[in-house]
Amino acid sequence: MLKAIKAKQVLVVADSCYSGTLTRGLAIGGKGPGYIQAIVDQRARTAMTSGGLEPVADSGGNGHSVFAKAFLDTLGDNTGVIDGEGVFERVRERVLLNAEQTPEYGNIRLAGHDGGDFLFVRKQ
Amino acid sequence: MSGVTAITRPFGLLACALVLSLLGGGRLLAAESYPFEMKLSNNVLGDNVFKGEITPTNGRFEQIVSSGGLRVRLSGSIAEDRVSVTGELLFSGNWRFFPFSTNGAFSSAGTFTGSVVAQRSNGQSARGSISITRPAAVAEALPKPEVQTAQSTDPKGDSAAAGQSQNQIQPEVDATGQQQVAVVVPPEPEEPALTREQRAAVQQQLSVLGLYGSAIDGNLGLGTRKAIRRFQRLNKLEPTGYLTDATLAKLEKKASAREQQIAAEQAARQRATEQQAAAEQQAAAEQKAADERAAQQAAEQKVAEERAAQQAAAEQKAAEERAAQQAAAEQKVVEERTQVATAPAVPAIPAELANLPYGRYHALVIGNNAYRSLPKLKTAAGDAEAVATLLQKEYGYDVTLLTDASEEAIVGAFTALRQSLTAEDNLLVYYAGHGWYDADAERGYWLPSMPSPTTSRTGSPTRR
Repeated sequence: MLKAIKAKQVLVVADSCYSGTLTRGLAIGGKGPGYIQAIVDQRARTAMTSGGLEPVADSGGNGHSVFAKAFLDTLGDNTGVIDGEGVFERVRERVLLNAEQTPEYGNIRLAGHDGGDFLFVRKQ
Repeated sequence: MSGVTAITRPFGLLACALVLSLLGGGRLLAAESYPFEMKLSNNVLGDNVFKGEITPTNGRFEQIVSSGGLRVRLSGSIAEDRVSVTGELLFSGNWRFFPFSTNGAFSSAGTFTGSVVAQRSNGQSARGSISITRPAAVAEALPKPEVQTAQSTDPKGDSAAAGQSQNQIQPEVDATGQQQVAVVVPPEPEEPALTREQRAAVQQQLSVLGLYGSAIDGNLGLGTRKAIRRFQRLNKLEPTGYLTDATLAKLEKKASAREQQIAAEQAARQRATEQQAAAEQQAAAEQKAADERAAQQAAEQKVAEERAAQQAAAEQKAAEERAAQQAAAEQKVVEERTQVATAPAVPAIPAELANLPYGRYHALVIGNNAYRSLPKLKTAAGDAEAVATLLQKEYGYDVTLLTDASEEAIVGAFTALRQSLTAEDNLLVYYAGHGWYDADAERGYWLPSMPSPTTSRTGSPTRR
Protein backbone atom coordinates (compact mmCIF):
# COMPACT_ATOMS: atom_id res chain seq x y z
CA MET A 1 0.00 0.00 0.00
CA LEU A 2 2.80 2.39 0.95
CA LYS A 3 4.63 1.40 -2.20
CA ALA A 4 1.73 2.51 -4.27
CA ILE A 5 1.72 5.95 -2.76
CA LYS A 6 3.65 8.37 -4.86
CA ALA A 7 4.70 10.60 -1.99
CA LYS A 8 8.33 11.54 -1.72
CA GLN A 9 8.83 10.77 1.91
CA VAL A 10 6.58 8.61 4.04
CA LEU A 11 6.85 8.10 7.76
CA VAL A 12 4.67 5.62 9.50
CA VAL A 13 4.43 6.13 13.20
CA ALA A 14 2.82 3.24 15.01
CA ASP A 15 1.91 3.33 18.63
CA SER A 16 0.40 -0.10 18.92
CA CYS A 17 0.86 -3.60 20.11
CA TYR A 18 3.04 -5.80 17.94
CA SER A 19 4.20 -2.88 15.88
CA GLY A 20 7.77 -4.01 16.10
CA THR A 21 7.85 -5.79 12.80
CA LEU A 22 7.41 -2.61 10.95
CA THR A 23 11.06 -1.81 11.10
CA ARG A 24 14.20 -3.77 10.79
CA GLY A 25 17.83 -2.98 10.49
CA LEU A 26 18.09 0.78 10.30
CA ALA A 27 21.68 1.89 10.48
CA ILE A 28 21.98 5.33 11.95
CA GLY A 29 24.95 7.06 10.45
CA GLY A 30 26.66 10.33 11.19
CA LYS A 31 25.14 13.48 9.84
CA GLY A 32 27.22 16.16 8.31
CA PRO A 33 26.32 19.83 7.85
CA GLY A 34 24.75 19.29 4.47
CA TYR A 35 22.73 16.28 5.58
CA ILE A 36 19.30 17.92 5.41
CA GLN A 37 20.14 19.47 2.06
CA ALA A 38 21.32 16.10 0.82
CA ILE A 39 18.22 14.16 1.76
CA VAL A 40 15.52 16.70 1.18
CA ASP A 41 14.89 15.38 -2.32
CA GLN A 42 15.42 11.70 -1.57
CA ARG A 43 12.57 9.28 -1.28
CA ALA A 44 12.10 7.79 2.09
CA ARG A 45 9.88 5.13 3.60
CA THR A 46 10.52 4.92 7.28
CA ALA A 47 8.61 3.80 10.31
CA MET A 48 8.73 4.51 14.01
CA THR A 49 7.22 2.00 16.39
CA SER A 50 6.47 2.36 20.05
CA GLY A 51 7.76 -0.79 21.66
CA GLY A 52 8.98 -3.58 19.54
CA LEU A 53 6.85 -6.64 20.00
CA GLU A 54 5.72 -5.92 23.49
CA PRO A 55 2.32 -4.49 24.30
CA VAL A 56 2.45 -0.76 24.69
CA ALA A 57 1.98 0.78 28.08
CA ASP A 58 -1.17 2.82 27.90
CA SER A 59 -1.98 5.81 30.09
CA GLY A 60 1.60 6.19 31.24
CA GLY A 61 2.07 9.65 29.76
CA ASN A 62 -0.19 12.03 31.61
CA GLY A 63 -3.38 11.32 29.70
CA HIS A 64 -1.51 10.06 26.64
CA SER A 65 0.35 6.86 26.09
CA VAL A 66 3.99 7.04 27.03
CA PHE A 67 5.00 6.95 23.41
CA ALA A 68 2.48 9.54 22.27
CA LYS A 69 3.54 11.88 25.04
CA ALA A 70 7.18 11.54 24.00
CA PHE A 71 6.29 12.08 20.35
CA LEU A 72 4.21 15.16 21.06
CA ASP A 73 6.83 16.64 23.39
CA THR A 74 9.61 16.12 20.91
CA LEU A 75 7.75 17.76 18.06
CA GLY A 76 6.65 20.53 20.40
CA ASP A 77 10.25 21.19 21.43
CA ASN A 78 11.49 21.31 17.87
CA THR A 79 11.73 24.79 16.44
CA GLY A 80 13.53 24.09 13.24
CA VAL A 81 14.08 21.18 10.89
CA ILE A 82 14.58 17.73 12.35
CA ASP A 83 14.69 14.41 10.59
CA GLY A 84 12.84 11.27 11.61
CA GLU A 85 15.92 9.83 13.16
CA GLY A 86 16.39 12.90 15.36
CA VAL A 87 12.80 12.68 16.49
CA PHE A 88 13.25 9.00 17.21
CA GLU A 89 16.31 9.54 19.36
CA ARG A 90 14.47 11.96 21.57
CA VAL A 91 11.28 9.88 21.69
CA ARG A 92 13.25 6.76 22.58
CA GLU A 93 15.05 8.64 25.34
CA ARG A 94 11.81 9.74 26.88
CA VAL A 95 10.05 6.40 26.54
CA LEU A 96 12.95 4.45 27.97
CA LEU A 97 12.92 6.66 31.05
CA ASN A 98 9.23 6.17 31.64
CA ALA A 99 8.22 2.72 30.49
CA GLU A 100 9.31 -0.85 29.99
CA GLN A 101 9.29 -0.58 26.25
CA THR A 102 11.82 0.20 23.54
CA PRO A 103 10.78 2.23 20.52
CA GLU A 104 12.32 1.33 17.20
CA TYR A 105 12.91 3.21 14.00
CA GLY A 106 13.92 2.10 10.58
CA ASN A 107 13.19 1.98 6.93
CA ILE A 108 10.36 -0.06 5.59
CA ARG A 109 11.36 -2.98 3.49
CA LEU A 110 10.02 -3.33 0.02
CA ALA A 111 8.35 0.06 0.13
CA GLY A 112 10.56 2.17 -2.10
CA HIS A 113 12.97 3.58 0.47
CA ASP A 114 15.90 5.37 -1.12
CA GLY A 115 18.23 6.27 1.72
CA GLY A 116 16.59 9.54 2.74
CA ASP A 117 14.66 10.39 5.89
CA PHE A 118 11.41 12.03 6.77
CA LEU A 119 11.83 15.67 7.71
CA PHE A 120 9.85 17.69 10.21
CA VAL A 121 9.85 21.40 9.40
CA ARG A 122 8.46 23.64 12.12
CA LYS A 123 6.13 26.34 10.88
CA GLN A 124 8.00 29.62 10.99
CA MET B 1 -56.11 13.18 141.85
CA SER B 2 -52.47 12.52 141.84
CA GLY B 3 -50.38 10.07 143.73
CA VAL B 4 -46.83 10.64 144.66
CA THR B 5 -44.21 8.03 145.01
CA ALA B 6 -40.93 9.12 146.38
CA ILE B 7 -37.98 7.11 145.26
CA THR B 8 -34.31 7.29 145.67
CA ARG B 9 -32.51 6.52 142.49
CA PRO B 10 -30.02 3.83 143.50
CA PHE B 11 -32.80 1.55 144.52
CA GLY B 12 -30.71 -1.51 145.25
CA LEU B 13 -28.29 0.53 147.22
CA LEU B 14 -31.09 2.01 149.24
CA ALA B 15 -32.38 -1.43 150.17
CA CYS B 16 -28.88 -2.50 151.04
CA ALA B 17 -28.30 0.58 153.09
CA LEU B 18 -31.59 0.02 154.86
CA VAL B 19 -30.54 -3.46 155.92
CA LEU B 20 -27.13 -2.25 156.95
CA SER B 21 -28.65 0.56 158.87
CA LEU B 22 -30.96 -1.75 160.70
CA LEU B 23 -28.09 -4.02 161.55
CA GLY B 24 -25.81 -1.14 162.40
CA GLY B 25 -28.24 0.68 164.54
CA GLY B 26 -29.05 3.54 162.09
CA ARG B 27 -32.16 5.47 162.59
CA LEU B 28 -35.15 4.71 160.45
CA LEU B 29 -36.92 7.95 159.81
CA ALA B 30 -39.86 9.19 157.93
CA ALA B 31 -38.59 12.26 156.14
CA GLU B 32 -40.15 15.66 156.59
CA SER B 33 -42.61 16.23 153.80
CA TYR B 34 -43.18 19.43 151.88
CA PRO B 35 -46.65 19.56 150.36
CA PHE B 36 -46.68 20.82 146.83
CA GLU B 37 -49.08 21.54 144.02
CA MET B 38 -48.03 21.86 140.41
CA LYS B 39 -50.21 22.92 137.55
CA LEU B 40 -49.21 22.21 133.98
CA SER B 41 -51.26 23.06 130.93
CA ASN B 42 -50.83 22.45 127.25
CA ASN B 43 -53.19 22.44 124.30
CA VAL B 44 -52.53 18.77 123.76
CA LEU B 45 -51.91 17.62 127.29
CA GLY B 46 -54.78 19.59 128.71
CA ASP B 47 -54.83 20.93 132.24
CA ASN B 48 -52.99 18.83 134.76
CA VAL B 49 -52.69 19.29 138.46
CA PHE B 50 -50.08 17.41 140.41
CA LYS B 51 -50.47 17.26 144.17
CA GLY B 52 -48.36 15.53 146.72
CA GLU B 53 -45.45 15.90 149.01
CA ILE B 54 -41.81 16.33 148.42
CA THR B 55 -39.70 14.34 150.78
CA PRO B 56 -36.10 15.40 150.66
CA THR B 57 -33.21 13.38 151.95
CA ASN B 58 -30.24 15.34 153.14
CA GLY B 59 -31.87 18.35 151.57
CA ARG B 60 -32.27 16.75 148.16
CA PHE B 61 -35.11 15.02 146.50
CA GLU B 62 -35.86 13.17 143.33
CA GLN B 63 -39.24 11.65 142.72
CA ILE B 64 -41.76 11.01 140.03
CA VAL B 65 -45.17 12.54 140.32
CA SER B 66 -48.10 11.75 138.12
CA SER B 67 -51.43 13.22 137.15
CA GLY B 68 -53.60 10.95 135.13
CA GLY B 69 -51.22 9.39 132.62
CA LEU B 70 -48.79 12.27 132.69
CA ARG B 71 -45.65 11.74 134.69
CA VAL B 72 -43.08 14.26 135.75
CA ARG B 73 -39.75 13.63 137.37
CA LEU B 74 -39.15 16.24 140.02
CA SER B 75 -35.75 16.73 141.54
CA GLY B 76 -33.98 19.49 143.35
CA SER B 77 -32.93 20.72 146.69
CA ILE B 78 -34.68 22.21 149.66
CA ALA B 79 -32.83 24.15 152.25
CA GLU B 80 -34.39 25.86 155.23
CA ASP B 81 -35.34 28.91 153.26
CA ARG B 82 -34.68 28.16 149.63
CA VAL B 83 -35.93 25.71 147.10
CA SER B 84 -34.71 24.71 143.70
CA VAL B 85 -36.80 22.44 141.48
CA THR B 86 -36.10 20.80 138.17
CA GLY B 87 -38.82 18.94 136.36
CA GLU B 88 -38.85 16.67 133.36
CA LEU B 89 -41.94 15.43 131.60
CA LEU B 90 -41.65 11.71 130.92
CA PHE B 91 -42.94 10.27 127.70
CA SER B 92 -42.19 6.99 126.07
CA GLY B 93 -42.89 8.15 122.58
CA ASN B 94 -41.68 10.97 120.40
CA TRP B 95 -42.97 13.61 122.75
CA ARG B 96 -40.10 15.57 123.97
CA PHE B 97 -40.11 18.47 126.45
CA PHE B 98 -37.03 20.14 127.64
CA PRO B 99 -36.59 20.06 131.41
CA PHE B 100 -37.85 23.06 133.29
CA SER B 101 -36.47 24.52 136.43
CA THR B 102 -37.37 27.13 138.94
CA ASN B 103 -36.00 28.28 142.21
CA GLY B 104 -36.56 30.84 144.89
CA ALA B 105 -37.01 31.42 148.54
CA PHE B 106 -39.77 30.39 150.86
CA SER B 107 -41.86 33.31 151.77
CA SER B 108 -42.19 34.39 155.33
CA ALA B 109 -45.35 32.33 155.38
CA GLY B 110 -43.28 29.34 154.34
CA THR B 111 -44.50 29.05 150.76
CA PHE B 112 -42.50 28.97 147.57
CA THR B 113 -44.20 29.60 144.25
CA GLY B 114 -42.44 29.41 140.91
CA SER B 115 -43.55 29.42 137.32
CA VAL B 116 -43.09 26.35 135.16
CA VAL B 117 -42.35 26.52 131.48
CA ALA B 118 -41.50 23.27 129.73
CA GLN B 119 -40.48 24.04 126.20
CA ARG B 120 -40.89 21.64 123.34
CA SER B 121 -38.45 21.34 120.51
CA ASN B 122 -41.16 22.46 118.09
CA GLY B 123 -41.59 25.74 119.91
CA GLN B 124 -44.70 24.80 121.83
CA SER B 125 -44.60 24.59 125.58
CA ALA B 126 -46.42 23.40 128.62
CA ARG B 127 -46.87 26.09 131.20
CA GLY B 128 -47.98 26.28 134.74
CA SER B 129 -46.75 26.87 138.23
CA ILE B 130 -45.56 25.01 141.25
CA SER B 131 -46.00 25.91 144.88
CA ILE B 132 -44.24 24.20 147.76
CA THR B 133 -45.13 24.70 151.37
CA ARG B 134 -42.56 24.37 154.09
CA PRO B 135 -43.87 22.40 157.03
CA ALA B 136 -44.23 24.49 160.12
CA ALA B 137 -42.12 21.98 162.01
CA VAL B 138 -39.16 22.71 159.75
CA ALA B 139 -39.45 26.42 160.15
CA GLU B 140 -39.70 26.13 163.84
CA ALA B 141 -36.79 23.77 163.95
CA LEU B 142 -34.48 26.29 162.35
CA PRO B 143 -32.63 27.79 165.27
CA LYS B 144 -30.70 30.35 163.45
CA PRO B 145 -28.15 30.94 166.16
CA GLU B 146 -27.25 27.24 166.04
CA VAL B 147 -26.77 27.42 162.34
CA GLN B 148 -24.56 30.39 162.79
CA THR B 149 -22.54 28.51 165.34
CA ALA B 150 -22.25 25.49 163.11
CA GLN B 151 -20.98 27.68 160.37
CA SER B 152 -18.59 29.54 162.50
CA THR B 153 -15.56 28.10 160.81
CA ASP B 154 -16.98 29.21 157.52
CA PRO B 155 -18.34 32.68 157.90
CA LYS B 156 -19.19 33.14 154.23
CA GLY B 157 -20.48 29.69 153.52
CA ASP B 158 -24.06 28.89 154.05
CA SER B 159 -23.96 26.11 151.55
CA ALA B 160 -23.33 23.60 154.25
CA ALA B 161 -26.62 24.57 155.73
CA ALA B 162 -28.42 22.15 153.44
CA GLY B 163 -26.44 19.36 154.99
CA GLN B 164 -27.05 20.79 158.40
CA SER B 165 -30.72 21.08 157.80
CA GLN B 166 -30.90 17.36 157.33
CA ASN B 167 -29.98 17.06 160.95
CA GLN B 168 -33.03 19.03 161.86
CA ILE B 169 -35.47 16.65 160.25
CA GLN B 170 -37.43 14.91 162.85
CA PRO B 171 -38.55 11.35 162.64
CA GLU B 172 -42.08 11.18 161.48
CA VAL B 173 -44.21 8.59 159.95
CA ASP B 174 -46.73 9.70 157.42
CA ALA B 175 -50.12 9.13 158.77
CA THR B 176 -51.69 8.24 155.44
CA GLY B 177 -49.25 5.39 154.83
CA GLN B 178 -49.87 5.80 151.16
CA GLN B 179 -46.93 8.08 150.53
CA GLN B 180 -44.87 6.59 153.27
CA VAL B 181 -41.26 6.56 152.34
CA ALA B 182 -38.50 4.80 154.14
CA VAL B 183 -35.37 6.84 154.20
CA VAL B 184 -32.09 5.87 155.77
CA VAL B 185 -30.53 8.65 157.65
CA PRO B 186 -26.97 7.80 158.53
CA PRO B 187 -25.58 8.38 161.99
CA GLU B 188 -24.67 11.93 162.55
CA PRO B 189 -21.32 12.33 160.91
CA GLU B 190 -18.31 13.43 162.82
CA GLU B 191 -16.51 15.40 160.17
CA PRO B 192 -12.92 16.29 160.91
CA ALA B 193 -12.32 19.97 161.21
CA LEU B 194 -10.83 21.11 157.94
CA THR B 195 -9.37 24.41 156.96
CA ARG B 196 -10.74 26.16 153.92
CA GLU B 197 -7.65 25.16 152.03
CA GLN B 198 -8.18 21.55 153.00
CA ARG B 199 -11.80 21.69 151.88
CA ALA B 200 -10.71 23.26 148.63
CA ALA B 201 -8.22 20.44 148.28
CA VAL B 202 -11.07 17.96 148.73
CA GLN B 203 -13.02 19.68 145.99
CA GLN B 204 -9.93 19.63 143.81
CA GLN B 205 -9.48 15.92 144.42
CA LEU B 206 -13.13 15.26 143.62
CA SER B 207 -12.74 17.33 140.49
CA VAL B 208 -9.71 15.34 139.48
CA LEU B 209 -11.76 12.19 139.86
CA GLY B 210 -14.43 13.61 137.61
CA LEU B 211 -17.04 13.72 140.39
CA TYR B 212 -17.22 17.44 140.96
CA GLY B 213 -17.48 20.14 138.38
CA SER B 214 -18.25 23.31 140.31
CA ALA B 215 -16.09 26.00 141.76
CA ILE B 216 -13.16 25.11 144.00
CA ASP B 217 -14.24 27.49 146.73
CA GLY B 218 -13.69 25.55 149.91
CA ASN B 219 -17.41 25.57 150.65
CA LEU B 220 -18.74 22.09 151.18
CA GLY B 221 -22.17 22.78 149.74
CA LEU B 222 -24.75 20.51 148.19
CA GLY B 223 -22.69 19.85 145.07
CA THR B 224 -19.68 18.94 147.09
CA ARG B 225 -21.69 16.71 149.41
CA LYS B 226 -23.19 14.95 146.45
CA ALA B 227 -19.76 14.44 144.97
CA ILE B 228 -18.50 13.08 148.26
CA ARG B 229 -21.42 10.66 148.41
CA ARG B 230 -20.72 9.44 144.92
CA PHE B 231 -17.10 8.97 145.78
CA GLN B 232 -18.03 7.07 148.89
CA ARG B 233 -20.39 4.80 146.98
CA LEU B 234 -17.84 4.12 144.29
CA ASN B 235 -15.28 3.20 146.91
CA LYS B 236 -17.56 1.15 149.07
CA LEU B 237 -17.58 3.67 151.86
CA GLU B 238 -20.68 4.65 153.67
CA PRO B 239 -22.30 7.27 151.38
CA THR B 240 -22.96 9.90 153.97
CA GLY B 241 -21.68 12.83 152.02
CA TYR B 242 -19.56 13.72 154.98
CA LEU B 243 -15.87 13.50 155.17
CA THR B 244 -14.31 10.87 157.37
CA ASP B 245 -10.67 10.07 157.88
CA ALA B 246 -11.17 6.95 155.74
CA THR B 247 -12.87 8.99 153.04
CA LEU B 248 -10.17 11.62 153.12
CA ALA B 249 -7.41 9.02 152.93
CA LYS B 250 -9.11 7.17 150.12
CA LEU B 251 -9.86 10.40 148.34
CA GLU B 252 -6.26 11.52 148.54
CA LYS B 253 -5.03 8.13 147.37
CA LYS B 254 -7.45 7.90 144.51
CA ALA B 255 -6.95 11.49 143.44
CA SER B 256 -3.22 11.08 143.58
CA ALA B 257 -3.41 7.93 141.48
CA ARG B 258 -5.73 9.65 139.11
CA GLU B 259 -3.41 12.61 138.86
CA GLN B 260 -0.52 10.33 138.13
CA GLN B 261 -2.64 8.56 135.57
CA ILE B 262 -3.62 11.86 134.04
CA ALA B 263 0.00 12.95 134.05
CA ALA B 264 0.98 9.65 132.45
CA GLU B 265 -1.72 10.04 129.86
CA GLN B 266 -0.65 13.58 129.27
CA ALA B 267 2.94 12.46 128.93
CA ALA B 268 1.80 9.72 126.58
CA ARG B 269 -0.17 12.24 124.60
CA GLN B 270 2.81 14.52 124.64
CA ARG B 271 5.02 11.68 123.42
CA ALA B 272 2.43 10.78 120.82
CA THR B 273 2.25 14.39 119.76
CA GLU B 274 6.01 14.58 119.60
CA GLN B 275 6.17 11.32 117.69
CA GLN B 276 3.47 12.55 115.38
CA ALA B 277 5.33 15.80 114.96
CA ALA B 278 8.50 13.85 114.29
CA ALA B 279 6.65 11.64 111.87
CA GLU B 280 5.16 14.66 110.18
CA GLN B 281 8.58 16.24 110.10
CA GLN B 282 10.00 13.10 108.59
CA ALA B 283 7.10 12.89 106.18
CA ALA B 284 7.65 16.51 105.30
CA ALA B 285 11.32 15.81 104.79
CA GLU B 286 10.49 12.80 102.65
CA GLN B 287 7.93 14.83 100.78
CA LYS B 288 10.52 17.51 100.26
CA ALA B 289 13.00 14.92 99.07
CA ALA B 290 10.36 13.44 96.81
CA ASP B 291 9.54 16.90 95.52
CA GLU B 292 13.20 17.53 94.90
CA ARG B 293 13.51 14.21 93.13
CA ALA B 294 10.42 15.02 91.10
CA ALA B 295 11.83 18.44 90.33
CA GLN B 296 15.11 16.83 89.35
CA GLN B 297 13.28 14.31 87.24
CA ALA B 298 11.28 17.11 85.68
CA ALA B 299 14.51 18.97 85.01
CA GLU B 300 16.06 15.86 83.52
CA GLN B 301 12.91 15.27 81.56
CA LYS B 302 13.08 18.83 80.31
CA VAL B 303 16.72 18.41 79.39
CA ALA B 304 15.88 15.14 77.66
CA GLU B 305 13.00 16.79 75.84
CA GLU B 306 15.19 19.68 74.82
CA ARG B 307 17.82 17.22 73.71
CA ALA B 308 15.18 15.27 71.81
CA ALA B 309 13.85 18.50 70.33
CA GLN B 310 17.36 19.52 69.31
CA GLN B 311 17.97 16.07 67.89
CA ALA B 312 14.63 16.17 66.11
CA ALA B 313 15.44 19.63 64.80
CA ALA B 314 18.86 18.42 63.69
CA GLU B 315 17.33 15.37 62.06
CA GLN B 316 14.69 17.55 60.51
CA LYS B 317 17.38 19.87 59.21
CA ALA B 318 19.45 16.94 57.97
CA ALA B 319 16.37 15.45 56.35
CA GLU B 320 15.58 18.78 54.74
CA GLU B 321 19.16 19.08 53.58
CA ARG B 322 19.05 15.56 52.23
CA ALA B 323 15.72 16.30 50.59
CA ALA B 324 17.13 19.53 49.20
CA GLN B 325 20.21 17.72 47.96
CA GLN B 326 18.07 14.99 46.49
CA ALA B 327 15.75 17.55 44.96
CA ALA B 328 18.75 19.39 43.59
CA ALA B 329 20.17 16.15 42.24
CA GLU B 330 16.83 15.24 40.73
CA GLN B 331 16.53 18.74 39.36
CA LYS B 332 19.97 18.30 37.90
CA VAL B 333 18.96 14.99 36.39
CA VAL B 334 15.83 16.57 35.01
CA GLU B 335 17.84 19.45 33.65
CA GLU B 336 20.37 17.07 32.16
CA ARG B 337 17.59 15.05 30.64
CA THR B 338 15.96 18.20 29.40
CA GLN B 339 19.25 19.26 27.96
CA VAL B 340 19.65 15.85 26.37
CA ALA B 341 16.12 16.03 25.05
CA THR B 342 15.98 19.61 23.97
CA ALA B 343 19.46 20.81 23.27
CA PRO B 344 19.67 19.55 19.72
CA ALA B 345 15.97 20.18 19.05
CA VAL B 346 15.89 23.88 19.60
CA PRO B 347 17.84 25.36 16.74
CA ALA B 348 15.69 27.60 14.63
CA ILE B 349 15.79 26.95 10.94
CA PRO B 350 19.04 28.26 9.55
CA ALA B 351 18.87 30.31 6.42
CA GLU B 352 20.37 27.55 4.27
CA LEU B 353 17.56 25.18 5.38
CA ALA B 354 14.72 27.66 5.25
CA ASN B 355 14.03 27.56 1.59
CA LEU B 356 14.72 23.96 0.69
CA PRO B 357 12.14 22.17 -1.45
CA TYR B 358 10.47 20.15 1.35
CA GLY B 359 7.18 19.81 -0.49
CA ARG B 360 3.72 19.67 1.07
CA TYR B 361 3.03 17.61 4.13
CA HIS B 362 0.04 15.39 4.62
CA ALA B 363 -0.90 13.29 7.57
CA LEU B 364 -3.29 10.44 8.12
CA VAL B 365 -3.84 10.10 11.85
CA ILE B 366 -5.75 7.09 13.13
CA GLY B 367 -6.75 6.48 16.72
CA ASN B 368 -8.81 3.50 17.76
CA ASN B 369 -10.01 3.12 21.31
CA ALA B 370 -13.07 1.00 20.82
CA TYR B 371 -12.76 -2.67 19.96
CA ARG B 372 -15.44 -5.29 20.14
CA SER B 373 -13.30 -8.30 20.92
CA LEU B 374 -10.14 -6.76 22.25
CA PRO B 375 -9.52 -4.74 25.38
CA LYS B 376 -10.58 -1.15 24.96
CA LEU B 377 -7.81 1.43 24.98
CA LYS B 378 -7.90 4.59 26.94
CA THR B 379 -5.67 7.02 25.10
CA ALA B 380 -5.41 6.00 21.46
CA ALA B 381 -8.11 8.31 20.11
CA GLY B 382 -6.92 11.19 22.32
CA ASP B 383 -3.35 10.64 21.23
CA ALA B 384 -4.41 10.77 17.60
CA GLU B 385 -6.33 13.98 18.12
CA ALA B 386 -3.36 15.63 19.89
CA VAL B 387 -0.94 14.55 17.16
CA ALA B 388 -3.32 15.76 14.48
CA THR B 389 -3.65 19.14 16.14
CA LEU B 390 0.08 19.51 16.64
CA LEU B 391 0.92 18.61 13.05
CA GLN B 392 -1.71 20.91 11.68
CA LYS B 393 -0.96 23.95 13.77
CA GLU B 394 2.79 23.76 14.29
CA TYR B 395 3.93 21.99 11.16
CA GLY B 396 1.35 23.07 8.61
CA TYR B 397 0.15 19.57 7.78
CA ASP B 398 -2.93 18.74 5.82
CA VAL B 399 -4.39 16.27 8.31
CA THR B 400 -6.92 13.50 7.89
CA LEU B 401 -8.02 12.31 11.32
CA LEU B 402 -9.80 9.00 11.81
CA THR B 403 -10.88 7.91 15.25
CA ASP B 404 -12.47 4.52 15.99
CA ALA B 405 -12.33 4.01 12.29
CA SER B 406 -13.55 1.00 10.38
CA GLU B 407 -11.48 -0.88 7.85
CA GLU B 408 -13.42 0.73 5.07
CA ALA B 409 -12.72 4.19 6.41
CA ILE B 410 -9.02 3.46 6.70
CA VAL B 411 -8.80 1.92 3.25
CA GLY B 412 -10.81 4.78 1.84
CA ALA B 413 -8.45 7.31 3.40
CA PHE B 414 -5.42 5.53 1.99
CA THR B 415 -7.04 5.33 -1.41
CA ALA B 416 -7.72 9.03 -1.41
CA LEU B 417 -4.13 9.78 -0.41
CA ARG B 418 -2.79 7.47 -3.06
CA GLN B 419 -4.77 9.29 -5.68
CA SER B 420 -3.94 12.80 -4.50
CA LEU B 421 -0.34 12.68 -3.42
CA THR B 422 2.44 13.44 -5.84
CA ALA B 423 6.20 13.08 -5.69
CA GLU B 424 6.38 16.54 -4.18
CA ASP B 425 4.27 15.46 -1.20
CA ASN B 426 5.22 13.84 2.03
CA LEU B 427 2.99 11.64 4.12
CA LEU B 428 3.02 10.90 7.79
CA VAL B 429 0.85 8.05 8.95
CA TYR B 430 0.21 7.94 12.67
CA TYR B 431 -1.58 4.95 14.09
CA ALA B 432 -2.70 4.40 17.64
CA GLY B 433 -4.54 1.17 18.40
CA HIS B 434 -4.20 -2.55 18.63
CA GLY B 435 -1.76 -4.27 16.31
CA TRP B 436 -1.46 -7.77 15.12
CA TYR B 437 1.68 -9.77 14.62
CA ASP B 438 1.66 -12.47 11.98
CA ALA B 439 4.52 -14.72 12.99
CA ASP B 440 4.55 -16.67 9.74
CA ALA B 441 4.75 -13.65 7.52
CA GLU B 442 6.87 -11.69 9.94
CA ARG B 443 4.37 -8.94 9.38
CA GLY B 444 2.57 -6.83 11.83
CA TYR B 445 -0.88 -5.58 11.09
CA TRP B 446 -3.05 -2.88 12.38
CA LEU B 447 -6.48 -3.88 13.42
CA PRO B 448 -9.28 -1.61 12.36
CA SER B 449 -11.63 -0.66 15.09
CA MET B 450 -14.61 -2.25 13.36
CA PRO B 451 -13.59 -4.90 10.88
CA SER B 452 -16.02 -5.39 8.02
CA PRO B 453 -18.21 -8.50 8.17
CA THR B 454 -16.24 -10.28 5.47
CA THR B 455 -12.96 -9.82 7.23
CA SER B 456 -13.88 -10.57 10.80
CA ARG B 457 -11.99 -13.06 12.88
CA THR B 458 -8.52 -13.16 11.40
CA GLY B 459 -9.57 -10.08 9.63
CA SER B 460 -8.40 -8.68 6.40
CA PRO B 461 -5.81 -6.50 8.01
CA THR B 462 -4.85 -3.28 6.52
CA ARG B 463 -1.43 -3.85 5.11
CA ARG B 464 1.09 -1.21 4.95
